[in-house]
Amino acid sequence: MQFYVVYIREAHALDSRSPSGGGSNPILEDPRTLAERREVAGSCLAKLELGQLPALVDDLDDAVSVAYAAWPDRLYLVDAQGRVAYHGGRGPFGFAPEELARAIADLLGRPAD
Amino acid sequence: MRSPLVPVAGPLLALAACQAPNATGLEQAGSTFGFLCAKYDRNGDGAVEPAEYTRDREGFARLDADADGKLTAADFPDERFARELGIRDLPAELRERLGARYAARAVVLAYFRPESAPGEPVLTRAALEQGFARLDRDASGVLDAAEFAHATAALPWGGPGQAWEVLVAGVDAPLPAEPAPGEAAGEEARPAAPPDGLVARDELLRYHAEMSGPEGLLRGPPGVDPLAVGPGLAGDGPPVGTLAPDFELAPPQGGERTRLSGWRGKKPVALVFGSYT
Repeated sequence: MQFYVVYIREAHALDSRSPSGGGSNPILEDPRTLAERREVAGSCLAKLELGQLPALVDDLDDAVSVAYAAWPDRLYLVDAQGRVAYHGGRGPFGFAPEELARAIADLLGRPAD
Repeated sequence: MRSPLVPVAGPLLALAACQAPNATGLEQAGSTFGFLCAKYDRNGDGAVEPAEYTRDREGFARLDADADGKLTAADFPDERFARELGIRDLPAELRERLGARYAARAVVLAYFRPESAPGEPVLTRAALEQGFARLDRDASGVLDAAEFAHATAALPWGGPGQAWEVLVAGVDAPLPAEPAPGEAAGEEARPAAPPDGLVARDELLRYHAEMSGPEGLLRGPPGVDPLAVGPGLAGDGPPVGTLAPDFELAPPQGGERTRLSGWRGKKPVALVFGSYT
């Protein structure tokens, strides 16, 4: 089983059309270069303590985010034949890690923990 | 990987307390204006002028809510409101409820606006009353989830089901009432009505009155479009059973790019899409 966090365009950068931040929430500007996006992605993973998971960064054209309708967040499981085995709902409300866990268990033929 | 419903409700940092953002512009705490002044206000006059702002003009204009040609604390009324309310000192539960009230604004603006002005991000009291009457199918003066499920509007982050949860959390959970004039100082605040999971017409109109400016218009936060969409919002992505779109991306530290199809015939792959905010 291989996991990847795919970092995509920020949902609520302060200079976006739907900014949010302040208080205990992160404040950041929309990365404008791939180097900036990678740097923010690295900081995000470190602060969210996800550094143990392999991560990939979508390119500035957001091509992967668009192909997977992934913004602002979404989960998928791809089986060993390259086909979609689990297609999560759009986040935040459709973002359901427990569904992914069940889908993985089903795929591997093991009970979900 | 945070909810996009987290509202702007942070305390405004005193300029003197601004800490310089790091190279990425990433700042864990503080306020949007504090962040901006720390990064761009080179002459230290407490405002960010166009010459100091090194990013695009469109972004500057979006942030300059009062269009006076510079970024000041006045462009961030939510933060000023939070500061004036002393939100920093409020108990956590009350802070959350205040945040829920801000979050509900997007739902009210999207679902109760006149059908003739679908993109208008302001709402008068009269328009709100009309919108309520439209959704209140049994004309009982109280909206429930079943009635709201007939609404046709949709926000980028979800349909009526999700919007109803946000609406109830923000409107059906009023802040404790302010002491009435003449009420003895120090007297315990009157308890707010307990939430009942419904949205009454009177509750909604009270919400409108409390959240509107002096001109009686409910607006979203400056520069915020409640219907804003990001890349990857169209469609619903590849369904189960179809070939997953292939891609090749690099890790944050750069270096070798990984191709999804490289795992074909080897291992299943779980993909977790998201960002920091």
